[in-house]
Amino acid sequence: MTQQRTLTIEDKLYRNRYKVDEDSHLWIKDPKMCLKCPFNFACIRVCPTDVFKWEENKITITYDACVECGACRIVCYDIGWKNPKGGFGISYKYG
Amino acid sequence: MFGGVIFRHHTEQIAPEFWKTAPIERHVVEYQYWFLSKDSHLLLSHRNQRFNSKYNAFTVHRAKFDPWFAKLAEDAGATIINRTTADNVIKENGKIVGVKTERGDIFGEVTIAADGVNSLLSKQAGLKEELPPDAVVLAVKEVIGLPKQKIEERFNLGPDEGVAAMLIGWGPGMHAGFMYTNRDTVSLGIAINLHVACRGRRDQGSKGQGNPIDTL
Repeated sequence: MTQQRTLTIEDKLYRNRYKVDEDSHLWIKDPKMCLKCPFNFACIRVCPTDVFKWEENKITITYDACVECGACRIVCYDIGWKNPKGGFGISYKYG
Repeated sequence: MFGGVIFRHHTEQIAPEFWKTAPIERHVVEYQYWFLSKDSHLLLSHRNQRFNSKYNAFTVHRAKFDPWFAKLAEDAGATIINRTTADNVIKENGKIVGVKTERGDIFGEVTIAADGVNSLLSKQAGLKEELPPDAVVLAVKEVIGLPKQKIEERFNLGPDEGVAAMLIGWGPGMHAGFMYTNRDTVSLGIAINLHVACRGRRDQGSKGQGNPIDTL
């Protein structure tokens, strides 16, 4: 008899491989701008892996969840973004 | 990361009869187009027996295919440098002559940025502006394990035959997707226009446009 349970997004993302660097490869350039966000918190809405969260009065970034899609930097020009250092970041088992 | 399929016509110009040695999953014999609404669909499909002998396209997994393809480049004289990020281009007299990496500079007559539609290098080089949200689609993909025989039963396929499907939907908001049969997995993807994703909600139980990963 097998038991089925629905996988959460986190379960599924966990199946990817991440090599996490010490420093984040993305950052908010001017956090003061977030207080009057002109993009309706698009970063939180578009990120497929919940990198961005609003905590108290600022955006927090969980960069080790980043799948490097680049959606965040398209919807907000206040996000600084560069590719992770060579060998770091996400790699896929199937691709 | 891609859907997806490798097309015979383009790839064989670089690697003749590549399917004989490349790690492919299935050769496509049927293309499907699913037009989806909230509770119905219209399915248009083209199955072609000729694709069993004159191959048209192949489903692959990039993590297996790319190393094979890179080896071809190496055999042809290329040097593959892994785990090195090209951060910026190098310009001399207005011409791009190479790239800066964290491990040093690399120069060349021609620099090709193969980092996709969202190319950071192209942007840094001043060759293109950032894309506006409504010009971009964000897709997420899941690879689902399904026994080889089950795939063949459900999709009505012979042992190495495959299906490539495009999904186009409405409700709410325009969205798209893809479905590819691999050997013993199915690649399933959902995509949404970024402009629409901006309007969606990410809270629990959201039935709005939302983020494609919630749909998946």
